[in-house]
Amino acid sequence: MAAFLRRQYQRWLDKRIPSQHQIRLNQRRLFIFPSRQGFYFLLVLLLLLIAAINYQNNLVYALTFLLASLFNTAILMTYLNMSGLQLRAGKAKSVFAGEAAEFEIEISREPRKQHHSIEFAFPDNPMQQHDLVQLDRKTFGLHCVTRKRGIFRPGRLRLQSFYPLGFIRCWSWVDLDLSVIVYPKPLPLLQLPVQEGSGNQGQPRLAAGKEDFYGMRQYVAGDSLRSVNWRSLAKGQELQTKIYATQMDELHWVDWAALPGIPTEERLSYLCDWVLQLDRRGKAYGLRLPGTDIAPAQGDNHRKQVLTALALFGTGGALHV
Amino acid sequence: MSEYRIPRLALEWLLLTQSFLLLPHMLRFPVLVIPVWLFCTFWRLRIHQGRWRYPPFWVKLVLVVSAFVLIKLTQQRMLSVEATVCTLLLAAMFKLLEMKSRRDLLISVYLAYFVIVTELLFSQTLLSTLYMLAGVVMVTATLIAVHSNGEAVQRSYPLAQSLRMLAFSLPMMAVIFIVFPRLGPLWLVPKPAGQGKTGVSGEMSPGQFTELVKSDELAFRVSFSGDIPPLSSLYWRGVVLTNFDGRTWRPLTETYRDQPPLDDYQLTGQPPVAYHIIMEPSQRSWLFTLSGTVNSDEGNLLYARDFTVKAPAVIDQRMNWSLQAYPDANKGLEIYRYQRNATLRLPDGYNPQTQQLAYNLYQQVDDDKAYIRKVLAFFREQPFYYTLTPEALGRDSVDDFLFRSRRGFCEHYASAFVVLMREMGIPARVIAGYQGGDINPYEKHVSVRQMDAHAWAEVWLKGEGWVRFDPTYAVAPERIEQGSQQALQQQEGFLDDAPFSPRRFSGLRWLRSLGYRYDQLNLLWHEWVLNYQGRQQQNLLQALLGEVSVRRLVMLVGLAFVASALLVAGFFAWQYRLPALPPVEKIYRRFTRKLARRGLAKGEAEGPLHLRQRAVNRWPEQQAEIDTIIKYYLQLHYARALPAQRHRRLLKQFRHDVMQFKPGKKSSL
Repeated sequence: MAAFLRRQYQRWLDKRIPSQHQIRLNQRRLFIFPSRQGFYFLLVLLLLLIAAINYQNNLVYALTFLLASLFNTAILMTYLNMSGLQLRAGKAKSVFAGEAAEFEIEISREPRKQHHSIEFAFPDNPMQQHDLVQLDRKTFGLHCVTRKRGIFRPGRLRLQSFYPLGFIRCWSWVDLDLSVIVYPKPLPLLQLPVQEGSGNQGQPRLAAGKEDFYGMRQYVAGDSLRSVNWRSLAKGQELQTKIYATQMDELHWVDWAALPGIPTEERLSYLCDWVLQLDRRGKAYGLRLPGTDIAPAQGDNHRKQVLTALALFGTGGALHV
Repeated sequence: MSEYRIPRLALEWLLLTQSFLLLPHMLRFPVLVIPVWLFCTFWRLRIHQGRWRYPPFWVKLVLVVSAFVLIKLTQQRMLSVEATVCTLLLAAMFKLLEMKSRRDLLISVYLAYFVIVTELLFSQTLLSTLYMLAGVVMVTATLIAVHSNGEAVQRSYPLAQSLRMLAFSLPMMAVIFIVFPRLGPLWLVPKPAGQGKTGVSGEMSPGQFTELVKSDELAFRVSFSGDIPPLSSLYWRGVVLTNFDGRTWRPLTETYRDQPPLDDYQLTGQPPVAYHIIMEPSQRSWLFTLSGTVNSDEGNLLYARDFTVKAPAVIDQRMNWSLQAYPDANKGLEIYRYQRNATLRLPDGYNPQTQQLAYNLYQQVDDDKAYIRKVLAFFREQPFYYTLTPEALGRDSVDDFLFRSRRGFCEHYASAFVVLMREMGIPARVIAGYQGGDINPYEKHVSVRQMDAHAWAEVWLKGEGWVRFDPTYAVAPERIEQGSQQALQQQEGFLDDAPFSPRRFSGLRWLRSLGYRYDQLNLLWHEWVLNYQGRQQQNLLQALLGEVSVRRLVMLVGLAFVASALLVAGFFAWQYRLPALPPVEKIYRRFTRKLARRGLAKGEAEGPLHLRQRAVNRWPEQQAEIDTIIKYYLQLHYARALPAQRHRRLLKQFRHDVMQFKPGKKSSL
């Protein structure tokens, strides 16, 4: 029954506040109700009223009514503080499963309007408080913990504010159509598997060793930041990338078939760690998954491509980086 | 829940508000409260600076225990309002020392609203109400400070926002105040006893009235339907003092009924004097009435055969009655036997010299009235002094006064006069009350203060009943003719307890006038705000609504609701309005709208030259018109430094051309 109601509520919410990249809060999208503090305050008002009646004191009556009217004003002011706020989804960086993904969100206001103390949070995730008082717009990263690999949708974002008096809670559930690719959680692979039939012959070296420095070439976007020659940058020269001799003759294949008999998710996790180890050592590597082949290469973009393939394996998600 | 740190803005506002609210209470409560408050505030500030920790348990225990001891020692009863309020204040201070979460902070703020209530229980004058209104503004500002980001807003921002919000709330509050039905108390509560401690009491001994005139505290106010009678005739009867033990006068036990003793009056046919009395809290139940008061429209007063009038309960808050009096009526033509016995009785073995004097004086005359005149002449002719600083009197107080000190205040003269009457078998008694008052020229009312306290005598004469005699008048006629203020202001001890009373400086006219104005305001305040209930509420609602029905009341409240919502919405619309366009842009917008209506909408970021090109392509025959308009616009928009006159002329032409322009129809010009 509860599940049914929740589903109905979600459906109603989806209809009322459909997902959009950009949204402006208005009366359709804002909900308002007294907060717990508000109910305490109403209790205070009741006590004041009893005092006024028992002491037959018109000034205490007046105070009670003033505060009751203040409560009423607070309803309007709390609503007005939230309404008109505009939200826009920004970029999101991929993370490994179990880590918190950071979604960039931009808030902006209409001219002269002010928004105070608005709290943002994904359900069950830490809350952040932001204002638009002096600034016209503001961008911040909001975190949401991920669980599984694949395309992660954090779902609805909760915004709420108790400003100005704390008596009233005004909130909204906003779906900014956010999504991010979550890589498999790496499971440490103590020994890289022995590879057969790969491009280079013989066993890959297991221990990390110093490769032979081969030379320098001009930096190309996508080169691993680890192999950038920072020293040359510090000297004021243009960015250069170090090339190691071993990269040229040693090609590695991160191969699905190399880890037989392991359940899919775990297997992907091991493959992920494999990729990371190779990347850390600055090797060139390719990926072989059932149905997917990525040619060996190096660099940040390549790593992203490979990890994305791992993340989306078997999910039917389109591969786009 | 992560560690919550009390925001600085909120703490600053809380401490400021607390001290503001505690200030008026400080004058009322034991001095020791001040160091406790300073201690708590200081500790809190140190915690905020990160220098000190929260106090350990034993410090809090010591504080709480010593607070209870303090209250126990200084307050008579633990459950009195004073003790409760003192506890509340101390709790508000102690809360500072253990305020850790946002919830604690909010509890402190809510407590502050209660502190305001307690202050309103003690004092309801206009000034203290205004002070407490400022208090409400500050508490609300604190609440706003708690919910604002201290980094984003200025320090004074909560105050501005609080003022705004309270201003929005006022109309609705006013309507609820007018409409809300006033109910009787739900249960009995202890009332603050701070007021009305001084005043004419139930007994009289030498020196008591000189204490009263040290105060300018208001006793009651009276407004008259007709003209105000001369001050010298305004004798406000309070208590009738019959029993005398040689030193102290006390009232006879009388039976009070809810009907005035009309049989005891013989009316003269004069019209009655109608007046309205507003009693300040006296903690006693006597009313101070003009002689011959027989009627009240409220019908809930009690009357005795000595013509005193009582309220059904102790007057512990401001109360008012409309009364009617027949001051000229003869009262008590037939004297009751018990009254006769009591008003002739004198203690045995006291004041032998007075007895001798009475015989001597009576021997020179032949009837009671002549004897009274003789006694008054005795007071007038012998060197008696009317003074606020009489000497202490011995066992035979009347002898001592008449033959030794001869310096006395009204109670000495009244007492001696009545004893002299009784010595010769004439029934007489002392009346304690007030005489005269202060006429407020701005409003037809008389304010009677403690310094107007007075005692005089009533003598029963055959064929005339009880007749008032004032021996003080024989000694100091100016006291009765000009009032206590004129007669006493040079005297030492007058208004000793009221060093800043405007009545001390009656030479300063403007100060006196200001005092009258404030007094008048306070009266209106009392009539229209403090005492707004019952029939007054009915009348006002009747006048406002025509007919008092639930439907109309609900409509009125709904109207107030809508009005305050409109007020808020209107304010926001005004505050967030878009900046007004300069006239040039307004006219240009008119031009682009004309184009848009004919299907040539201006692009979001399209410049005037590009628009011109498109417009000319569309309507080539109007090229000249379009070119002129665009030329004017470019001149006005970009060349800002045009001389004012030229600018005006250009603008006029620009507006004219835009008005004339009709896309698709070549102008006839």
